[in-house]
Amino acid sequence: MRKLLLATALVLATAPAFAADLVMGTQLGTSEDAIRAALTELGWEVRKLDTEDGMIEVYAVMGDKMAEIYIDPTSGEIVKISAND
Amino acid sequence: MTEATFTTGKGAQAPDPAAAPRDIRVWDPLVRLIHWSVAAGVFVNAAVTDPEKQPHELVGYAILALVLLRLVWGLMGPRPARFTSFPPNPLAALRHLWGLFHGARGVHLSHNPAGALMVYNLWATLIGMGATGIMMTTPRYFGIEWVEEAHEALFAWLMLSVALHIAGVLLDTALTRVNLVRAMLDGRKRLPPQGPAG
Ligand code: HEM
Ligand code: HEM
Repeated sequence: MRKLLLATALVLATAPAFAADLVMGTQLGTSEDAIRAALTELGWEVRKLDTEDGMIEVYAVMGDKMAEIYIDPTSGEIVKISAND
Repeated sequence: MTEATFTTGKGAQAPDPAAAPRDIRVWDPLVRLIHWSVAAGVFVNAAVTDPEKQPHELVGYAILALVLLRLVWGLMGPRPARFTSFPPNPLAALRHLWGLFHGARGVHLSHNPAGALMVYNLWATLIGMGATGIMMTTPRYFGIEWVEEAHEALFAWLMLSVALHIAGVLLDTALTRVNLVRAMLDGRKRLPPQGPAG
């Protein structure tokens, strides 16, 4: 399932139309504030932001899109993402 | 209710000690299938599935569908399965418990009044879990903390309720000597022969 979601996210991300799409490795920031700002900038509404297993975990929505994003706080990059479409 | 109540203990008149156990059909196959499927589903979602993955949601939907089907059955199913056979009545439940601890040994052809309250509580809790679970998957409530917390709180309540539910079943079985679990398995309540001790 996760693989499928990832694949979907990747496919969507390669479509140039969406500047707001997030993929593995996307740089979002190393602090919760920076991440919130970056996602908001991209058009996402940040619903929840906390630390889980050393990763920053974010729940964000944009329209009908829902994403659960994990960011490595040392590199500031997305290390895991699951999205619904 | 009264016509659905047999007395096997104190106060029973002219018991025939040699009487064979009376076999009474109570739970139809659908009630039994739903019960054990729901119990298995709850176990699977509590202990097996990863809540962030799809099987958790599928099992949750299945539980919800089974509970809703049971509610329809409560309107039109066989007599013991109907809500009218076990109306929610806190006073009757208290009276039942009071009686139980004072030697009354009524056998019910549906849920006893205390069990009935528990059954409605279990259904309501399961529906609440299904509802909050589904909410978490919609853009409107995705990542909204109180919904997740409600799902978790309902789960804690469900576990407490199930523990009490099982304790109640075992207590009732010990006191009335009517094996309720067996009745939920094969559909029949076997009323014990009425011995001198009741
Ligand atoms: C998550 C676990 C469980 C849930 C949610 C649950 C829920 C319920 C519900 C909703 C009913 C009412 C059935 C109906 O009228 O359709 C019921 C009845 C019953 N359950 Fe469970 N149950 C669970 C586990 C168990 C277990 C493990 C046992 C065995 C010890 C058990 C034994 C019974 C019995 C014997 C009845 C009938 C009680 C009576 O005669 O009034 N249940 N349960
Ligand atoms: C009715 C039976 C259900 C049971 C017994 C159940 C049980 C649980 C449990 C034990 C958790 C973990 C809570 C925690 O983190 O401590 C959980 C989380 C979750 N459940 Fe359910 N659930 C049920 C139905 C559903 C349904 C129908 C859905 C969605 C369609 C759902 C979606 C979720 C989601 C998304 C989480 C993750 C919450 C989080 O992010 O922490 N659940 N559930």
